[in-house]
Amino acid sequence: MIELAGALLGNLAQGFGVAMTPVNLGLCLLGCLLGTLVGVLPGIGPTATVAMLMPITFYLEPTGALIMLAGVFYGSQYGGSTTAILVNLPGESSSVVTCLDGHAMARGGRAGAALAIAALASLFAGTVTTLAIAVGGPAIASVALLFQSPDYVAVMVLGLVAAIVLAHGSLVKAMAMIVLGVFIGLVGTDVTTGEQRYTFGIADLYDGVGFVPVAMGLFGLSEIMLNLESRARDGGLARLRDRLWPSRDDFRSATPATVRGTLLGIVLGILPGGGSTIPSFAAYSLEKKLARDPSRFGQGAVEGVAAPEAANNAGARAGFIPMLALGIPPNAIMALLVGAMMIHGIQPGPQIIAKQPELFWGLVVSMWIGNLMLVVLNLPLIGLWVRLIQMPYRYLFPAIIVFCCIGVYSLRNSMMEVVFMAVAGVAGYVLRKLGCEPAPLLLGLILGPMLEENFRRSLSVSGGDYMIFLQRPISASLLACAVLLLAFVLLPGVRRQRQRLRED
Amino acid sequence: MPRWFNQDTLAGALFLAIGAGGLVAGRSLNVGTADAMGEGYVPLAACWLMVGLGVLIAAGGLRASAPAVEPGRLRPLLAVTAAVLAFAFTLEPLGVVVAIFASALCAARAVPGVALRSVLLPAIVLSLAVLAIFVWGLGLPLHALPRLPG
Repeated sequence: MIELAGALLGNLAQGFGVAMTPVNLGLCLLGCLLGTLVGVLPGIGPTATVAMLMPITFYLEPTGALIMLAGVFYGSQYGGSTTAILVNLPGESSSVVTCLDGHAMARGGRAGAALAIAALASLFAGTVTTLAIAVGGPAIASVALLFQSPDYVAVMVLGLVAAIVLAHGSLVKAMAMIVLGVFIGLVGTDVTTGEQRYTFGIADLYDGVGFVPVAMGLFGLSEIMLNLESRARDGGLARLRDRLWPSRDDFRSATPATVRGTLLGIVLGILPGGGSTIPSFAAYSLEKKLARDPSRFGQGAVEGVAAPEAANNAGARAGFIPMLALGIPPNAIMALLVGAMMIHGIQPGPQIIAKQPELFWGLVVSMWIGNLMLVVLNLPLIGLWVRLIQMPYRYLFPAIIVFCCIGVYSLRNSMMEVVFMAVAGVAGYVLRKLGCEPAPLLLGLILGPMLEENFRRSLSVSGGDYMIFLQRPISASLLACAVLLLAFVLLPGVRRQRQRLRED
Repeated sequence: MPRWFNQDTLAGALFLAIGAGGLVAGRSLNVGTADAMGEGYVPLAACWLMVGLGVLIAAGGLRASAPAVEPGRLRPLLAVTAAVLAFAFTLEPLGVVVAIFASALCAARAVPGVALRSVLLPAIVLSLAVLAIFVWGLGLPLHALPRLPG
């Protein structure tokens, strides 16, 4: 036990060594600032923000790039909560619940207190989750080193099934979107046979469909199109007249809520497909159930801000555990980060912690530093963010489009990639109009090639016998989990519950 | 709008079409056997899955409760797409400044009644910002102005 703690301290010390270099500190700060800047813009969620800013990091060395991207990620999430509280515009689904009580507090003139509670709850959740990653990541990775190709197939299937189960809309549509993603991921030169697949003679497709243009089109462009359609939302600006610091009573009710939200966030966030939306909704309803007077919720209850903010931050970060330890992204943002790692030539997987400890520990420590920076920096900058939110969208979106174009172009200096992004944008728009969420497609796209490779290898080892997936204990139990999960959501009671959640 | 015209039937038809298209376009791919898969094994399996799921989704559209298609507006869709394509096709021959102006002009069409004046000023600011950050700052291999012949 003492030995383990010693090793952990040593690793964290190494991480501090990496994260505290002036360059990495600067990148972390820059990432947080840029992330918050884009994140506070109404209608642009964390996934779109990370997708849009990703190309900037390709010029950096890998560790710095990931540190900056992680900063962009939690910066944008934090920015989303800020707009949720101040103007009742949630940046993404994960801050929808924060709107309820956060904006109610703001309308009551307690915007400062609401923002401070949200920031402190996030910081607490971030600290605990970072420790959980530091302890849990290597532990899971050491188990994962025993994995062979059938086990990898099983873990990916489990991840994809969980993504289907936790998707917002229809199960069958989510499934179809994953299969479509896998299919698109297979376009290009087949690694094993060297044959072309679905490239239609377009040279830009020989290396496969670029992941960045698809992600940026699917999330960024289609989001802009939908935003332009429905511009009239406005929640009324909050007043920022009182002191920033919450009262002692606020702290008394927020503290236990924060702890509960954090734990719930970590547990749900590790699950594939969990992300940060489900934890924040779950934490809110838990607080409402536990409260002595549930009618306060929606009227500016402090717990209604603290718990979901803690839960969404913990959930978002806990996603790093399967991403870093297994190389399996549990949600769309982690899929983006895996894509970024691959562009830098890093193959995510259990060997990363052993082979590139400076990357892993540097990232872990910098995530905590970034969280601290957000709290210290953003509270004084709130006035600036408020002004930014008031900027008319018609000035903003042409700039966002241009930045997307330059980012995608600079990736391979290819105009075809920009054209692909336009196609992906139209596809994303149409699919969303038809009730198909784009996130599962992105997961399928990232996992497709890995899935095919391991699937092929498994069956060639077993001589074409599909039973190999059931003969290995690891893969058999993972597949059993996947089946149970799928059976569970098909139960009539659970189905009705999902239906109701969707309608709320 | 007829009742069968809803999110589910259309989404189902879309997946069915993509799957079927993939099967046709990939008919020359070599499938191989399970222990020695050809390049077509997994992609064609994915296409069959899409066909099956497409039928399933479309069948769901026959329920009375199937969600209707939200009315969309063509204008933002076309304007945003045109803005991206304009950038893509002008960047290499005409340079980044022209590309930004072309893109901004197309994008402005997304919102009705935007005066030319309120497009030009942001485009100038944007051009300067892009030049400062990407061309002079990060040193991307973009040229600022149209290349002279020769």
